[in-house]
Amino acid sequence: MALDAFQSGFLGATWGDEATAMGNGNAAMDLMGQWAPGAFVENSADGTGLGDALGWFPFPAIEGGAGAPTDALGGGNGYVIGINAPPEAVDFLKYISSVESQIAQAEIGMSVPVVIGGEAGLTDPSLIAVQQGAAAAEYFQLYYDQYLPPAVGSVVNDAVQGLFAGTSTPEQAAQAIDDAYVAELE
Amino acid sequence: MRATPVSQDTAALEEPGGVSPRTQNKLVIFLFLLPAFILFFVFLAYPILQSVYYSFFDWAGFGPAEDFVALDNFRRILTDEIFHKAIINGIIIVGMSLLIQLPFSLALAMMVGRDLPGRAFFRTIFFMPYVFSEVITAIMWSSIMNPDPSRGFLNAVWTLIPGAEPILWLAEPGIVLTSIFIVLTWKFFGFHLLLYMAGLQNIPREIEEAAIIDGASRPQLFFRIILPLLSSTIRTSVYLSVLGSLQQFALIWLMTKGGPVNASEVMSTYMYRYGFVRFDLGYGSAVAIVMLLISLLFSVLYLRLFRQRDYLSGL
Repeated sequence: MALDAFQSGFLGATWGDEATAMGNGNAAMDLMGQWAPGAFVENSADGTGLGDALGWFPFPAIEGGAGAPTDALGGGNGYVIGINAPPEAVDFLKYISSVESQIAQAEIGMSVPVVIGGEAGLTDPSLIAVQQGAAAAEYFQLYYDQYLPPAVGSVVNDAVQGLFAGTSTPEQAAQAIDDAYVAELE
Repeated sequence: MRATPVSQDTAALEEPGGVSPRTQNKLVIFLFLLPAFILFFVFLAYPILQSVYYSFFDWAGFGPAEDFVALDNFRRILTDEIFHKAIINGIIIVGMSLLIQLPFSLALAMMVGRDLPGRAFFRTIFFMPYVFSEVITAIMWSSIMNPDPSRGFLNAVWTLIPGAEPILWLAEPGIVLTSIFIVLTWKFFGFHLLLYMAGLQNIPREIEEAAIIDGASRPQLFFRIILPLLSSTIRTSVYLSVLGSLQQFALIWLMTKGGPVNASEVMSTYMYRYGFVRFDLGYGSAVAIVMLLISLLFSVLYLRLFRQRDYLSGL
């Protein structure tokens, strides 16, 4: 925060504002997921986005911090099947996680493959980098606002906003998340 | 001359064995009221009772509510700083509406209701924002208030002034409530303008003419004649404005989600955040009940205070 590195009005920025800033080359870095390159193109003024100028790198390690620099934070798709679902539903899940289907999905930009061999369908260099980064990770953490129950995940988001707005200290933010978690467990 | 069919019908109705006209009348009234009553009960009364019930539980919205916590939810509401902030923000919006928005509407009504050339045109223009849906209004103004001068209209104009920095309308906690108020005013002043114009039209011209002949100045005419005669309209307009402000949700949620960092949080966004974003429906229900009580208290007190049995007759 002290670096004043964020764009003007970032506290009120929508995802569209952010994608526009990136797509038009007005921002140097963005903490975002694998869907971002497509959104940058769509939101750029000339409709072409950044092209080769877009790259990916893992979040920099903090000296003395916990975990390995290669650990991944992210998400993607999860599938939930109802208890009364017909057996075809399971067959379908098997199909969409097959190597051929994963390659096909990667080719049309639907997802970053999670099955070994699926990366053959990727052509976008930044997505290949993302896929390799995720594949090399020894630990994978789902986004906290999705991983935790809604009552806690939403507190994570609000606490992070408080941190960036400078209205709460890291200790207060951590405390708020802890409190919400304890209340949820009760 | 032949007897009219109508009188034959009446005779038929009064035949013994049939239902008396009076009972039949009541039956007709009942039948006509029934659909409205069913809708009222199913979509209004029953959900409110359900909310009251759930407000005593710690309930996430799935399965039956089993974790009875008595008044814990209410205790939490009354001690939560963010809820206090939401109440204060609500009061600020109500205050600004009453002190700025309504006088502004009245002033415009005095202008376009009377002698301004082309007033039909202005009336249409002023009323137009009220016709827009709140979602369209919110999306439009979010774009107008974009901090980037190359994208937001307000900042594009503002930064034409040499040395002026873009104003972070919706991103600066100290400004965001004013920005919301600007949009609320833009959206709703036309409605109050219409109320006032209707009220002004009800004031007989002769009274004003008599006052002018008696030598009343323009301010005297306004404060001694027009304002008192408009008082029932003003009471109606204040009533609707306060309730509308207290319950405003869509515009604020769509533009800021109550943020940044709760700077534009009001009771309704607070309720939505806890009830539906955090899936704490028991707590959300309790917030809704508190909101209902505050609005109800205001309604009852206001109507009592002004003994306005015909509070909508000013329309």
